[in-house]
Amino acid sequence: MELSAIGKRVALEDAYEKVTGKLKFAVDISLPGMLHAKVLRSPYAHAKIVNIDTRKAEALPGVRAIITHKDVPKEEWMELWLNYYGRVIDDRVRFVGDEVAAVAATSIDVAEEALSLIEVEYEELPHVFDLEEAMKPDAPQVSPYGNVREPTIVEWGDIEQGFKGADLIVEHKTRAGSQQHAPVGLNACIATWEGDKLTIWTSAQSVFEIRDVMARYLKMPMSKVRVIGLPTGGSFGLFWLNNFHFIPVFLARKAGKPVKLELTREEIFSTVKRREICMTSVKLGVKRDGTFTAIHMKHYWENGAYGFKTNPYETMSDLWVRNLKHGKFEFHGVSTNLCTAGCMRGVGDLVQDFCMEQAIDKAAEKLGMGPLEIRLKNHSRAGDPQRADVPFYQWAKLARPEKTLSSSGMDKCIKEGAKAIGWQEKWKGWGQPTEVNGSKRRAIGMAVSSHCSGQRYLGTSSVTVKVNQDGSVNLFTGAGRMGQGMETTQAQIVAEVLGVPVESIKGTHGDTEVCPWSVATVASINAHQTGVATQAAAAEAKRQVCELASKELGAKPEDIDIKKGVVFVKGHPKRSIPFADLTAKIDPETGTWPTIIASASKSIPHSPVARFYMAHFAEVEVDTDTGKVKILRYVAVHDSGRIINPSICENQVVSGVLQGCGFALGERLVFDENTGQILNPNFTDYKILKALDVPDPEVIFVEEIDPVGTFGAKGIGEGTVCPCAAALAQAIYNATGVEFNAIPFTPEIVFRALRSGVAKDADESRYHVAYLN
Amino acid sequence: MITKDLSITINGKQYRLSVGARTLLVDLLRNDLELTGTKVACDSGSCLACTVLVDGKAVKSCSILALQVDGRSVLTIEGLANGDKLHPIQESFVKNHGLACGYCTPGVIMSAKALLDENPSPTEDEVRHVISDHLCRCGAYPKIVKSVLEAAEIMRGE
Amino acid sequence: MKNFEYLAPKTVKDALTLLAGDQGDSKVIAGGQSLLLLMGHGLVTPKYLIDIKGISSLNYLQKTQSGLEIGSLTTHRSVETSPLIRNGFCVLAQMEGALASLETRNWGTLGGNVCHADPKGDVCPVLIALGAKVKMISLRGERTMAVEDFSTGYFETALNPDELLAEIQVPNPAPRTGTAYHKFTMIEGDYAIVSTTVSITLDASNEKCKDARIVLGAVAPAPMRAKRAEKVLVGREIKDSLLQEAAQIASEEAEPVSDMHASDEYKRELVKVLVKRVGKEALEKAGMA
Repeated sequence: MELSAIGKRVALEDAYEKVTGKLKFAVDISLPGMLHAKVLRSPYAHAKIVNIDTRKAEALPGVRAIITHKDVPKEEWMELWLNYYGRVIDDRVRFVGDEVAAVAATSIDVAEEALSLIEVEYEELPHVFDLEEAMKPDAPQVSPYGNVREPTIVEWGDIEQGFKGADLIVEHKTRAGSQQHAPVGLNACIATWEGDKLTIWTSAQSVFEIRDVMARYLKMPMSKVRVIGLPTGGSFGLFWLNNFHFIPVFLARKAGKPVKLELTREEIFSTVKRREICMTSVKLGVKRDGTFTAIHMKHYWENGAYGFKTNPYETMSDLWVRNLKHGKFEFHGVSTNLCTAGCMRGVGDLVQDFCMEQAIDKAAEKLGMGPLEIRLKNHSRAGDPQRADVPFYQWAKLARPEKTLSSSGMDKCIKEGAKAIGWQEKWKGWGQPTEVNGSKRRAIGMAVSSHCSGQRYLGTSSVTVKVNQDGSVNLFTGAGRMGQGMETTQAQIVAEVLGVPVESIKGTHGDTEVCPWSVATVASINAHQTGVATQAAAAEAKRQVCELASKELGAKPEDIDIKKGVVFVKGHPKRSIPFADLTAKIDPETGTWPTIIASASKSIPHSPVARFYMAHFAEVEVDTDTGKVKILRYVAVHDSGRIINPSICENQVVSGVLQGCGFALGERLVFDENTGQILNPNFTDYKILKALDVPDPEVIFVEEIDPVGTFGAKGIGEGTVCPCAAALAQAIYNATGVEFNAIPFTPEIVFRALRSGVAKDADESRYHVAYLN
Repeated sequence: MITKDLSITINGKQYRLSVGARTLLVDLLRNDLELTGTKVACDSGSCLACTVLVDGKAVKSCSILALQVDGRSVLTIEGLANGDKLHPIQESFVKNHGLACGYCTPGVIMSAKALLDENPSPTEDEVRHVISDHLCRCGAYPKIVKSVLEAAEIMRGE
Repeated sequence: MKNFEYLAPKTVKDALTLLAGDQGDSKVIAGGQSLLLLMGHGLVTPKYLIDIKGISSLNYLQKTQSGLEIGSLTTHRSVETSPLIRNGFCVLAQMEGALASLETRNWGTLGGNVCHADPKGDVCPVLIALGAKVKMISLRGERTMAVEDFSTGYFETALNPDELLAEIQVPNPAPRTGTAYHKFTMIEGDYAIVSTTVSITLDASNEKCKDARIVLGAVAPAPMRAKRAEKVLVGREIKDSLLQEAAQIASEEAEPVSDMHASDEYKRELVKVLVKRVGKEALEKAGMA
């Protein structure tokens, strides 16, 4: 199939606004008469508010409204994917930074001064920060519903029987500390009430989630809550509905004026959301030939103060189910008095993969196999059974219909990557460096991962396409603009289907009053599911155009096609009319131009399901004197089906590699062991890898065309971070003979482990409150 | 509030303003003059999203008081294009995808502008060193480097 | 940020007059980037902020018979790119090139950095290794002092409230001197977890060490010389084993404290590695100087 727009390096639709500074993020928005909000936050990890006196603050000139727990509903609100379950402001605070009160004033300075005048009397309560401590029955209870959530369990076959049939059983345990999304953009929310109508301006990746939950919570018709979703400045899971969104809403209602709440970087780091701290174990049964017989994974996920998750959505089962007759995957969510934890890019997968990959490595080494061989033997192929989509069935208590995998380019990913990195010459065996030069030891390593391309039961994607009389096209989706390039890829799909130049398409996204309902931009859903809806809407628009042309060109609509902005009869290119001439023709019957408008609402099918695959290869040099790990080369091979825009996808992969390698080598939140407060809530002490820290990753797409996705496209964004830690850990193991099974492995951790000559035991590392290693 | 007179040229336009002593240059630009193209992303002077040129040199507008630039000339992202005609650096960023979410982009482009004004033929390594200090969480670095190098070529007339 | 009165004297005399009347509630800024950050977080709250960046007479870099004279208001970037920074002074440019970002170096000044006295600072350790001095002026007159003595502690200097740092003087290195610098960071261009500068002067035979300076950064309240380690080197032929011995002693001399990025023990280990590596580099340079 020859494609005109798909697969091309089309410039970003909003590139002009971005390079001229004209693109408006929520922080850039200012409304007439707007007030500024600041939030008073808890200095305690866990306390009851005995008394709160705002009278002095109210008396301060310039203060227009103050809210405390007395001014907000008694009910809790629940984030759609359980990233938050709690009151907007409670009379109990559950982590340092929790909301206690908020002020709206004529300036930020006044609001800040007012905060200092609010008198709060706290009664301190016992707290718990540690994941395992919090699970004990006598632990301080963080959530009103107890600390331990009912686990989500996915099970098939009989694992005991599976382990009996194994020649080798490997048990492995890993831990991971907490990473933060750390996008460059800042969270901000502006709320304004006109009568009983609420309008919210906010940078968001989940626009309709914000509207729907907000409307339900405020008991308002959804038609009267308008959320204008603005670009985010990166997101990676951060720009969802969060508790802070409610603050300006209640303040604005009380003050009768628009209110803007802009969070500082410090507030974003310490109060919004972060990746969970977790502990994972895998028991893996393997036959002598490397075939897996059973997997039992247990994953313990720390929710922080208000997270409520038990369902890290993804399960490793779907990557390794090929020969697997027996599997059991358990997910346990636990509350603590730390900042709320929730979804971040590669949620669940990254940390579960890390454990699974290392267990596989251990098995391979014991069996005398290489890392490529064992993975090639066990990974899923198209048509293999799939086990994910657990949460929906769990909640709805339905039997899970069987389903299969739509496509898999894992085989190619592994083989292409091995070729690119020079695996044959550089792989010297487990624990064997490729080169030793004094204190510097070099080696290679690899790991694989997969991720869903959206999830069926999250919701549909809806798209509207309008063709204007001058032939230009408007595209509307409910998706969020987080810098992933969605505006451009969706326009490319329309251009391809409708046969018009991509420049003639203008998108409007994420305004709930204008755009059709769509599930949020989460779980790598856009290219795949939104793409299917866009394709369908554009196809319907094309059908209408062809019908119009049928009279004009004297041919049946089905014999008409559109290419490069020209409508023509198939096989007779001269019997044609320019697209814009056709749409401008006045219909003698109506005396006006034709109206062409098409909408589609699509969900991905139950089966087959599309997952995307990747294999990452790293070459590292470990300085055994200092413990510093230098990445010398990084090859990332991805099967995301058809690549709609290679440049956009390359940026996505590089971004994921930097975040994934950063997490592996040192990116982590540090919590005070006495208060749980985050001690590095800034870009100085929170260390992010940049262009000099990692050589440009070599990105390869194998483009296994998927039968479900639009033009064969699958997702890409989330998976990109997943294999990095495991690939680097394997490379370090090969360089030094020491295994690292707790993320991150900072220079000091590597140094200490090398000195003691033994692997750092995951059990000994307590990243929960690790002030020091 | 103690204010002082400030005489400043911004994007070629002269201003005489009365500003508070503690007003940061970035706040003057964003809040008082509504030039929101210059971004703020941190409160620790470490992300470079707020980079502007003062007398042709790239500086962090979040770490300078407005009064410190009295009598000087400031160029922000809004002043780079010539009307609707993009600067070659901007054009190159558009073409080469030297951006993703666009939040760090104005700062990156201003640093690139200062670099190319000072050194029309930088090596890849020189570009990388300048660009790497900018925090781009979308990882557009490889394409940013390419964008700057290609813009340099175009500006040299090659 | 708390409010303050902003004063911008245009001459040295005006600045010194303002400082002479200081009641302990003034702060001087040159670039001001570090101080404004502290003020932004409410950690420093001066009543008067005296901005001396406009005093053009303190912005110069010149070569004299005895060495380099650098006006305190010379920017980092000017030092980094000055054609006068050659031969024995190259280490200054190398250090500057890795100091924060270009944007910081364009606005920040050498004098401002020295006066800020951040124990993690890049500049002072290198100046100390080069045997640099500072000239301080006030209405009472002027005095000079070794940089080594100027940094007295954690964000503290020997500068009196009525004094300005006017000039940094870097003497010509003795013949057959090599100086090298390295900082260990978590990510590139970051501040030092530990930094080490070593200066070695060989005797006329080019065999034995005539003089040595080992300066450690970020492992004490102020940059410190590892004097016992230096003594190990002086008068002897420097071989790997001798450097190893000096490195061991230097790591014992260091007084690091643990922070969220590295423990005190680890920092000592880094000192050991860096002294050995940087010492070797300095030795090679000395042999070629």
